[in-house]
Amino acid sequence: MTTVSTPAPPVDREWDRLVAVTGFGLPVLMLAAVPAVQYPYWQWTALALATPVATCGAWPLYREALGGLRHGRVGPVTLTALAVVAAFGWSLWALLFGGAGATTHTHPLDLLAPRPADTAQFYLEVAALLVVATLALRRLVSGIPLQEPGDPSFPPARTARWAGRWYVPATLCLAGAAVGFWTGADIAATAVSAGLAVLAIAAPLAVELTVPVATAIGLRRAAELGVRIGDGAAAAAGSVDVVVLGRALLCTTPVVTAVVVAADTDEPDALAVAAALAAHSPDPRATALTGGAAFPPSISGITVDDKGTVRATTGARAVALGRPEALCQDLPAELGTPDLVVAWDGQVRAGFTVTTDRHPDAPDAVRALRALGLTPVLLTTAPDEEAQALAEGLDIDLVLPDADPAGKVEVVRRLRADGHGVVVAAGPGAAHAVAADLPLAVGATDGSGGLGIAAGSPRDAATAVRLARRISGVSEGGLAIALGAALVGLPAAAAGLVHPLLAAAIGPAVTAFVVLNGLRLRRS
Amino acid sequence: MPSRTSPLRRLAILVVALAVCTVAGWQLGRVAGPSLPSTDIEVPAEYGHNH
Repeated sequence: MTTVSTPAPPVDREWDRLVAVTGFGLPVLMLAAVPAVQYPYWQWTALALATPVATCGAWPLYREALGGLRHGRVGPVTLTALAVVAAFGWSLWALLFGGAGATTHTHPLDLLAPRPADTAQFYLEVAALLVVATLALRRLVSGIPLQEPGDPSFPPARTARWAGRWYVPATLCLAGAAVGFWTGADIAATAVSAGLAVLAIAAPLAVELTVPVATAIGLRRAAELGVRIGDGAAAAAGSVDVVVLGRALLCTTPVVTAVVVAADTDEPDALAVAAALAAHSPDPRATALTGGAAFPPSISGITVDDKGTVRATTGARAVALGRPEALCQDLPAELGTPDLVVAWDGQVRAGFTVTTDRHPDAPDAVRALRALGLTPVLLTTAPDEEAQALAEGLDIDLVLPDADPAGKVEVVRRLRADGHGVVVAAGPGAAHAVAADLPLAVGATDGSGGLGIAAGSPRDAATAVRLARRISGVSEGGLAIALGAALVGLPAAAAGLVHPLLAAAIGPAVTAFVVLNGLRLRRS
Repeated sequence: MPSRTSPLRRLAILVVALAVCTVAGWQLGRVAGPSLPSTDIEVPAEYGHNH
């Protein structure tokens, strides 16, 4: 008989710890908050329950805080650890020496009039609440693969970095100043409660987490939706107000419907050269040629001129792919009227007829982009008649036909010079997309920089812009809430106007709100 | 960007800043203390510790 050993499930120590501190901490909170259950010597029961919470339960916080101090770092965990030590230490002193251990001691819990009159106040419930809330928050955040935005100049990230650098030291100094002030004013009981409230109400973790959480959840959602949000896209998406559209977005994936080769040319040879060059062409129709050969020849010395013609060398041959009028004056009659031609050694070798129809989702896509406040502009190499046909029935403000690649770049530059923020939906690497505030690569859902959507899915354009804006908005909103709460809460706490228990509830609540706010992006 | 200040120096700066703030607060409290209103709550006889 063979024995099959199954691996034991991993021990989730942090979960066990959270359950244990909650089990010990909640009764402490209830005893302190409900005077009716405060039986004689209840405070000693509270101490017995709070001791494992503030020692073993908070051990990971102390370890991390001390580890940070060894490297000269003070972070969010330093404040929490200090607040727990202060609350528990003071409570111990008050119980043993301050008179709070007497038989009939009750706990006047008035959150709206928090300045205590005597030193027989203890804050075991504050220590317990801080430990439980902090461990619960760490648990919540541990499931999120936090991700800093790739663009270091992303405004919320820059603000968070700046605030994160000063937040904890400034809070510590404010707590010191509050303790000093109330001690100097000879109101020692308020000194303790004010100092403790400052440490407890500060939510540095909220400042630290808001951008990484929003970025991580936003990018995960983008991957689910099949769109790419690259570096700098979230920052730029908020300021764009014009969307430049082209056939790459509005038409179905181009298909080669006819290949005609010159008399002395092999069709597989022409298709292989065209496939090698097509990957570098700014013309969206060229994507139809990329799959034309299983093993296209390797090419070097690739250049793209202002008419969109790709030139390169393969072996000893100089090869080119582009529109017929850009490559030769007199097209051989046998090639008919192709959309694209391939040439080498100064001679046109093959012509390709490429068909693209307007995508059935194009009207919805334009409507969705307009709903985002973007003004649609159609900018295309197509002649006027074809461009007007493409724009027919679409709610497009401006149609600009007959634009060569250089002309497209010029149009984008002018729009930007007029103060517009421009997003350009075009094939990957198109010159006018590179010149835009926000490139939206159609047919590129990996890589970095700008937005990217799959070819043939025009409605994803609005999804990508909306999601990028949401990442930016959620990051900014979370940061505003975290910093706003600090601006109001910290001075009020230092002034002795916030009960430490209320502060210990507000601080983690702000952090939880910011994290949950970021998680809303999962449903964007 | 890595900080050029050593960990010990950073901690020392923080401790000094903390001490300065505490002392400044204490001085301010001594000056402003007498003019502060009394505590907002009067602890009733049944609250607090009874001897």
